[in-house]
Amino acid sequence: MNVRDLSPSELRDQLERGAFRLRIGPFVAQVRTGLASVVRSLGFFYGDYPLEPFEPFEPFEPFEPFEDDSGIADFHLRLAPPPGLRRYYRPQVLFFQDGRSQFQPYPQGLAPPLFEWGLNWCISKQAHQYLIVHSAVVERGGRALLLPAHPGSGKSTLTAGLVHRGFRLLSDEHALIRPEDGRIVPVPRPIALKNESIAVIQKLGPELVFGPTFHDTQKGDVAHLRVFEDSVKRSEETAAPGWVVFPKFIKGGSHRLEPVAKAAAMMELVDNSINYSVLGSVGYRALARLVDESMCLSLDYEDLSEALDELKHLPERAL
Amino acid sequence: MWRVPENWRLEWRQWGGLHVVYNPASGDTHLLNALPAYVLRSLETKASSIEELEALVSSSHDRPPDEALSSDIEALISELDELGLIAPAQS
Amino acid sequence: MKGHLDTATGLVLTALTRPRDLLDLRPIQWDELLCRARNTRLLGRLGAELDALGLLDRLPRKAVDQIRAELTVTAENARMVRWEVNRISRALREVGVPIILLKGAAYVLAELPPATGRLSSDVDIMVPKETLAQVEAALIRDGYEAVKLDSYDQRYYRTWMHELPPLCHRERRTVVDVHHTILPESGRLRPDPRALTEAARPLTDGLRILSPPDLVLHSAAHLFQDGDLDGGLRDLVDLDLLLRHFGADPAFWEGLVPRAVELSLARPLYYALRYCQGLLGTPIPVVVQQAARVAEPIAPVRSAMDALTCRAVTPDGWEGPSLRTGWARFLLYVRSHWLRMPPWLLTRHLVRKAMARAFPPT
Repeated sequence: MNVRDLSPSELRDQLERGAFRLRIGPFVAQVRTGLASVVRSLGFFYGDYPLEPFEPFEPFEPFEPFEDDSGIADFHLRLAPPPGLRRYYRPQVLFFQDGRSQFQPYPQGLAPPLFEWGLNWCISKQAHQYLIVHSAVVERGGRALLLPAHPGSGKSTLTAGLVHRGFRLLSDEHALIRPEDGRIVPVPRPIALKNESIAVIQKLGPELVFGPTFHDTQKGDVAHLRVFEDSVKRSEETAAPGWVVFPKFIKGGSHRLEPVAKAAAMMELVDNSINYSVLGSVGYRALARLVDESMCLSLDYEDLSEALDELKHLPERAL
Repeated sequence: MWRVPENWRLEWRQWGGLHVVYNPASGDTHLLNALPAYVLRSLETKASSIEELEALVSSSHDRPPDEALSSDIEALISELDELGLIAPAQS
Repeated sequence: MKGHLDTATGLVLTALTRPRDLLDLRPIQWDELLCRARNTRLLGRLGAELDALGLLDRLPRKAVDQIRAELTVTAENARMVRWEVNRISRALREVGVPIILLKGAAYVLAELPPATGRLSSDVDIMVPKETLAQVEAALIRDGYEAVKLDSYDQRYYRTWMHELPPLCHRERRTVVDVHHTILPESGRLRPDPRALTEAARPLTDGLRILSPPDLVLHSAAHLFQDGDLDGGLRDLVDLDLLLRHFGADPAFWEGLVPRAVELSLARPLYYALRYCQGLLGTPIPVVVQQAARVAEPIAPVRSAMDALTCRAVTPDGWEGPSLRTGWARFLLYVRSHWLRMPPWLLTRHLVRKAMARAFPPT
């Protein structure tokens, strides 16, 4: 059963009770909220995503053997207004994980993107069964193209463009690398675009469906792109390493795609890895393997179209 | 006398003359080029004094054993110590 | 006492005392347990226990994923503690000061049972009071900075507490707490730090740890005087592990209560033994239990502490702390500050803290 199979009132009811359990890539997120804007947002962006069954905690029911591990969530999330004045006056919203508020209160109008940012945070904080690189990942021909996120990279814009050109989205934020075999695990989520990129990507075509634009965030204007159904359906299909491209958007600069020394690429990736230090030598070996098995490149670009063309042809180049 | 303590089991990878070294004791990852890597490798196998290292580098890297080499090695040792890659050897 | 516990706490206690029972757990109960154990920083402990018993492979995959992720974090935490101690030793080598490791750092470096699956936040060391200035100076030279505190808090730490303000390393972002005694000087109980130092055992490289009874008493004092009850169950588990580990030696039990009396820590020891036994089933020789009653409070106080402690060690679920748990924690926090500071100072401190929370400086 997918989220879109719920009627609006069923969706609202499940979310209010906290009986709503969403499968996103390898994770199950239980969500509870009474905020209408978040209910709408979840229905809009996560329609194609599967729901996990939920049974309430009844301590005295007789034991029945279970076959799989359905019933266990990775994250227990809640979005709710704070108690007291800020419930009504200049209303705010808090993000709770496992019952604890994680951030300062946000204006209630930003509740939908807060869900996304909060979930990013939870994955980063907890999913140490993977090496997590702060990077976008798309896939073509079974191989992964990583676009590590550093300021000025424009990675989300490139990712949106690549998705439009037929690459499968694995993630906009997190490259989840499985230490056991080096494969990259999908966790597809809406792509977050900022400021001018929103208009640029909207122009690419009507197949790209946007949610509402939020203003006055810390990063300016933010809007999210809905994930194509194909990417959601193929959430369990991992990818082998292919390319690691460090993009840099340079106004007035020349266009350049060049190999990068692997040792330097590795150090860049260390800096871009969210939980590298937690994983210790496991993280070191996983990154070394990724660098070994990928073509490492840097891309200076000014024109989005040219950059996309260049990247689109990567799968045809010998690895 | 300096060495890499025995229970710090350094891990090494190299690509094109550049070495990426991980120290499980400190959790730090370092990028080293040829000379520091050579000296560090040497200190992994046995403890050495600064003079011994000067002699070693002089012969293996074909550099004259002069003031310049001496101060280079001293600076390198000081840096490796700061980075937590080596420690004074117990005599 | 068990009447004060709710089902979810019961679940966590079962997990800690009878891990094999977890093989019968339904997924929704795992869901509850993982969340609560993580909130009370016991997931790593639980995971290490299950791993040692070879049971991990028989658990649901999602539970194993989360447990293994937590064990990764705790392993890294232990590495961080060891390295930090290494760096602190290096920074203080010139000063030539005797260093005693406390709490998590002691457990990790001495490889004591509480170290497994543990999450320590800071490194705690104890040095003689007269060397505090030198130690602080040496650490600052090495790249540590005092955590930014306003002048009121600075004075609070230096005058009333038993430590320098926490020092944070500029690059590593790790925190070291430098103590000169184990309980605040301004408190009602004043164990003599020299007695602790004299009994300390050597570890390695000039580092030392407290003697076995002192480790137990310090942990008890920290839990029942310092009042950091948010990690309450975790600290109680530490105590339980220490008692079981050292309890193999009869001489340990003989010396425990006399030492507590000597250090004026008999009341915290009484509570420690009472709740370890009551909640975690720690085996304590009857003669020791009887001897500890020398510090038994009157029945009403005992009942109140039972209720408060049980409530306060309840791990939070994904609904958050219940209102009663929150109140219990608050009352214990007030109690511990009362024990730590004279009443006239207490009101000013708490009011100031409440104001700071309501109106944070911009």
